[in-house]
Amino acid sequence: MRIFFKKIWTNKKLKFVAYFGLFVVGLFLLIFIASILIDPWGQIGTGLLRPLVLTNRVEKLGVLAKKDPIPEIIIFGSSRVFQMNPDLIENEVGMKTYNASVSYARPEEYNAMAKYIIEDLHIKPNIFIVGFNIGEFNDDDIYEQTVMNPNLRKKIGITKTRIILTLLKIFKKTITPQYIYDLYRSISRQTNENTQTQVAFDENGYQIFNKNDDFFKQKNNSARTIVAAIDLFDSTDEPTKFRKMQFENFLKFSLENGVRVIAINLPMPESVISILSTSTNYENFKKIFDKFIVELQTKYNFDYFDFSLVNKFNGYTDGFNDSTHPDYRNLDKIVKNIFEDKKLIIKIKK
Amino acid sequence: MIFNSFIFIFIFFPIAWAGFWFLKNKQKKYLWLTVLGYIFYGYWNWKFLILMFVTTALDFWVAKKIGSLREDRKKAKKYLIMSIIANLGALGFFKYANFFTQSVAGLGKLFGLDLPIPILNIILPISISFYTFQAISYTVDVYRGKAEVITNFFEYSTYIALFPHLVAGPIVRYTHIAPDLKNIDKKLEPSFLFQGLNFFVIGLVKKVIIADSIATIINPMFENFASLSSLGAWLAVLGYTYQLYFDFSGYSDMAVGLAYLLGFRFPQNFNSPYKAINISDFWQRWHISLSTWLRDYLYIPLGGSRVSKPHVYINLLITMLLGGLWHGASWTFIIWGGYHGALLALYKAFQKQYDRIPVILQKFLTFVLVVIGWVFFRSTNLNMAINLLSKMFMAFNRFNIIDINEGLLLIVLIVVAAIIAHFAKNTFEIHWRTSSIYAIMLAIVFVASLVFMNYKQSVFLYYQF
Repeated sequence: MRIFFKKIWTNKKLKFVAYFGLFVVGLFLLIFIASILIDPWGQIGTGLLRPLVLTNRVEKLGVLAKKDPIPEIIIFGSSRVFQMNPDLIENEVGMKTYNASVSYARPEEYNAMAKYIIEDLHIKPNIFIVGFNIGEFNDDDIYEQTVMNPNLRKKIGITKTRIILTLLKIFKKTITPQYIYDLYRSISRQTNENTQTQVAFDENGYQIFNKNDDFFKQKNNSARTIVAAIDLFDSTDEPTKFRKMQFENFLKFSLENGVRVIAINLPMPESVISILSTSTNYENFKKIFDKFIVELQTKYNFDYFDFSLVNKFNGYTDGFNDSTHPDYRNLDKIVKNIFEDKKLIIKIKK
Repeated sequence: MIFNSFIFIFIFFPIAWAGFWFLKNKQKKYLWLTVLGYIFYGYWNWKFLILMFVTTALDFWVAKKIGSLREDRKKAKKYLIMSIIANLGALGFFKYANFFTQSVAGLGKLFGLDLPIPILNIILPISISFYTFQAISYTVDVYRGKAEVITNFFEYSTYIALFPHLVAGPIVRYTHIAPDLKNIDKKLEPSFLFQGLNFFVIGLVKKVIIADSIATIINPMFENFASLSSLGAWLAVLGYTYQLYFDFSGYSDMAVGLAYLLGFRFPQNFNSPYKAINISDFWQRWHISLSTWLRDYLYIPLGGSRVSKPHVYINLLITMLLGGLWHGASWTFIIWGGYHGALLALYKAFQKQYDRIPVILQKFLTFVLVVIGWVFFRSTNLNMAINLLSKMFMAFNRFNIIDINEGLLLIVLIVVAAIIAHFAKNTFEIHWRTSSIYAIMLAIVFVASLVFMNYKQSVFLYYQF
């Protein structure tokens, strides 16, 4: 070994190569360590410095922890329910409501968040409303922000190996010139720059958006974003075991803690469903999912609303932000439709 | 697989390199490099490995036959023609069949004939233009007695499938790397390791930091070329001029670097082409491995410069037209080739007068002429080329191209690229330093390139050829 190093050190060119190699490794380590410590985009969850951008998970759970009075109804789900209005539910039912939906949420999120809210935040609501697209039961990886969120990952048993792999995936995805600049910005502007959020929410977790925004007026949003719908269904022919298990665990946990669950299968435009039926195994996926729900309903007492098509709740055919996101009008309709059922309100209030 | 990908830099090449130097036996090394070449190529589309294998086997056999027929030139020539037909046949079918049939159909329409010619669903195998030219050069050189016959199949398959040059050149002739191929079992020399590292990193910087940054801004401009102003058209075309140079010369530097790391010496492919003082000089500096190939295997057999003046001009025109066609089955490439052929012929005709112009003007004129040529090279059709040229030279209008910040960034990038391309030494001219400070600087630019690469990975422009 000593001879080997001596050989390198006495040869100018080999010494150059050695310096180069050492410095490359050193620079990488420096970037990785800085990324972990500074975490400018709040993805790693280190929490030593205030991130430049807050992620939904950190932001929404942070707001919920400080809520006074404590909400009695909490909405879970992905960005598909960002525009589900908690104030409207409060008007209908008379219970304080908080929208805790987070981007890319999957059943493991409802499970982890429900556990965190009840076990760690000691908030015990009466109702969990879960809005989902059945495609969220696919085989996508667990979302990085969930894996890297120490409060959530411990609730669903994320292994150390997965944390390391996710960390590497984040590095691969995010270390760009802009990210390096944000490392610097994050340190230099700690004292004078307000933290931004990826999507803005009001105090009840409802997305702040301009209803007259050009984006929402575009007629062909669903057609333009059809790929997003296909992505939900093209990798698997049926709901995955893991996600079914997470959903079941969520129902079980809620039941054990006396929280009623209202689950809503959210709509997609009919044109999107017909494309999905021909280009993916959507029909089979839906059939198996429906069967799964029937089995669960016999085991756990929860309310399920299959609003996969707008005609099931008298919704708007053009009430979509894109191929899989119902807009605020359809979500308002869904809320009204659910709580029109006075029996349900009576059940809830009991 | 592309050189500027993480899978290549962090997985494929380290394994390839370690395995290569771990093996001591010649035959095993040949086999290892052949297999690696096939994996590298098959990563794109494994089905075309069969085509590469068949042409490799055929050329190996033909060259052996030619070698055994030293006394019977007639018969040897028949074998040579067979090899050329097979190689050009494959190239012609995959690359030009649709172009040819559609051109015939178009011609028919001109005469009022609606010819029922179908469009064939042909996928162009990447690198076919490169490895067929390489194979042809070998069989021709064997026929001419310039190259010795390779008797070991794996030595030949290594020569064809050597991954550093496989997909986008340089078009390495067997005689270029024969000494290194023969001594493949030699020990790793520190100077090769040192050179290889420098070439690879500088090539990566050229591609990822300079060429791709320019491309990010100019690609949308070319997509919306109709709305460009005169200044916008000039900026886009100038941007492309430097993008193409840094992209392709960056790729070539990386190929040379990788070859060094495996103990091979590749020839220089770019010699500061934008410093050229005339168009002939430009072609001695740009894509040298192709221009010398065209010279040795096309221009000289046509008669070269040893014939009458008009015949020389025709030879130049034919050579460059075919050179243009080699780049792609499109009229824009043919016009680009013809344009350069005409410029070369004009230069030959008026060389005495031209050479009297001050050198700085010669350089400027040559550069402008080359830039005009790139308009055809970059355009997807003739309408686009004409539109761009008219904006550049005739229809002067206001600055309305792009966001002002992007415009300024493009100008900065063009200025930086121009300073390097016109005034700096090229990678073959640089005397690489061995100081630790330089090693640290090289490490910094390497890591910076990887960070840029993580932002955006794009294929090399010459992959399409």
